[in-house]
Amino acid sequence: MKLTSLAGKLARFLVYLFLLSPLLVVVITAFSDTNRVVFPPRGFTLRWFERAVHSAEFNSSLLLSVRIAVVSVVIACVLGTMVSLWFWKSNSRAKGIFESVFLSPIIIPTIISAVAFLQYFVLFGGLFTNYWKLCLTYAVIQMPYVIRTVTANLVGLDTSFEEASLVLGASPVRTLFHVTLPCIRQGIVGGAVFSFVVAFDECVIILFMKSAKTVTFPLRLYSYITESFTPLISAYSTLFIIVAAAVIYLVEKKIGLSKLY
Amino acid sequence: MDYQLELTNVAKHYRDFIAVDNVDLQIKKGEIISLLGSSGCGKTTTLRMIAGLIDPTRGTIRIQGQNMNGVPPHKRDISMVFQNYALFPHLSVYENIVYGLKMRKIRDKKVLMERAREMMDIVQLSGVENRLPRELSGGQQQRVSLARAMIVEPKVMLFDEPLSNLDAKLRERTRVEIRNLLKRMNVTAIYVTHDQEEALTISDRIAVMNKGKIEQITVPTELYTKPATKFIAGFVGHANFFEGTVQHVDGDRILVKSKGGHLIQAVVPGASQLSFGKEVTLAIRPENILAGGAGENRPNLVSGTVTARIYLGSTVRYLVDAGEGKEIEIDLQTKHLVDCGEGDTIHFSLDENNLILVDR
Ligand SMILES: Nc1ncnc2c1ncn2[C@@H]1O[C@H](COP(=O)(O)OP(=O)(O)OP(=O)(O)O)[C@@H](O)[C@H]1O
Ligand SMILES: [Mg+2]
Repeated sequence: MKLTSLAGKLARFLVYLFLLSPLLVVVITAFSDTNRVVFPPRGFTLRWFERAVHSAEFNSSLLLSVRIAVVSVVIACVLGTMVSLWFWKSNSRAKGIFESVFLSPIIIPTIISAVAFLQYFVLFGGLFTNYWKLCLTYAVIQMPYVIRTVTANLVGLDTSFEEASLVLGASPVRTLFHVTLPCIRQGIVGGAVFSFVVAFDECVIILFMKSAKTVTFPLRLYSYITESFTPLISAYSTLFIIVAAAVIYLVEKKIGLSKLY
Repeated sequence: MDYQLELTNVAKHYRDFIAVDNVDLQIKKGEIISLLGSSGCGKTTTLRMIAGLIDPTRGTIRIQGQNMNGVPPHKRDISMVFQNYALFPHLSVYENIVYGLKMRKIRDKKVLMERAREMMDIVQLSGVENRLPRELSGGQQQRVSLARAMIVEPKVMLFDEPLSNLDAKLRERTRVEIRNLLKRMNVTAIYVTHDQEEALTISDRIAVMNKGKIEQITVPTELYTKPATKFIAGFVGHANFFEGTVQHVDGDRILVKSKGGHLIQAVVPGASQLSFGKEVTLAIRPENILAGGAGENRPNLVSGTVTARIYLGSTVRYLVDAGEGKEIEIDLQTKHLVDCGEGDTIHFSLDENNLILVDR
């Protein structure tokens, strides 16, 4: 009895170690007092973090990535939630077809989507700035994530909540905002977090659609790494690991991401 | 005539399935009507049509004389208590209770607080206003849903089996409370249930539904003593049936020869409209069958073999095989117990004043 539980703990520890060791390596190399990333690190310094915080290029890329991610997440959440609600209510035969259409961006290889978007914007590109092209493209890519988390929430949602609201005198619109949306809040926030991550570290589409004005953060990191492989990269990565962990922790605590699966 | 709620010829078809068939119903202000019937008979469908949650295929629904066809639920000024309560899970008890008032554009915090407090006193909920619904017991949730529906002072209040998730004791107590509350606030209500006892306790009149139709609307006492149809006699309480043909009519008194060959004499109102040879069904409650009569020669005497003896406390129920596959239930007062066990022959007589003429 005791032995098996001990063995279980050990196995779990090894799995975590396997999953986390690449991250650990990155974090450790960020403190290396060398001009190249080396492992094991030599010396100890915080200068790479200082550089990271003060680099104007990186900071503007970071800001751009956040702006693109936020705008595309908002678009994806609004549209994705609407689509999910329609799926939930509709008994129409066309539903099955639309479901596969809306979920297809997950299945279709990103490189193919990238080519498709590129061609699409060659035709209609004049209407948008490159920034908006990226926002719209990412919104399309993100929508399946929102639809999936919101739909997972809606499946368990009793229709009598809406009916109770209607019967108590709320119009359908007020019912949507006072009852339905609050009930699926978890799904929407979960979808938003996922799609934010998707937009934020997207590397393929941006290669096709970048312009001088739209060097996003992953792109900046990538081009920097091809020129010089300093621990600055590790410092950025470390910062991100910390921010991401904090976000996941907060979301988990506030709404419980794990409930979505 | 001004009815609070009036259904005329209301029907609901799902493709070729008729869920509700030509229902007529008139309800006065302050009246409590139960829709009673077995599962799938169309009670919920009728209720949801009144609420406006589904559209009738045919017929009109009027609330205070106004035609409700095409009027969405939120403009009908009604409210509803759901079987699963449907309390908004993200709102506190207080927010749940004042929801209907807020949707009626009452914004004044003071007014809301006051009305909510009053309502919570009535349903004995004070002290839990800041909890979420999931932090309440089933009985408390039930009270919140009652308060939430009642606070808006609806023109008609609808109940869809609101007590079926409570335990038996609580259910018995709550149905009396609901009736008192509705009477006190003079609320017109439709109460859907498949529990006859609940319907008998709570309502002013009971509409028994069967296969989408209302078979009888009457006051609780008459439903038991004067069921109109065979279905109702069997559904509300227990009943034994004798089918046969009329042999003789004399005023209110008829003589019927049953299919099993028994001669049965009964005193039934409206008997004078029957004539010789007409096929009729007579019903009798188990408690109106009297033991005894062995060796006598008169109508209404039946005998059979006891197949089971069930002790019910104040009475004992005998299941008797009266021949030709006919099973008869007899309830005898425990204190008048006859000495008769399984396999024995029992003689009994049908009380002629308690035989009921039913349709079909
Ligand atoms: N959307 C629908 N499509 C097809 N048939 C339906 C639909 N809704 C209800 N029905 C049918 O209509 C009939 C009446 O249903 P209803 O829900 O009114 O029954 P009920 O009397 O409330 O029964 P219960 O006591 O089990 O709740 C049932 O046979 C049901 O299968
Ligand atoms: Mg029902």
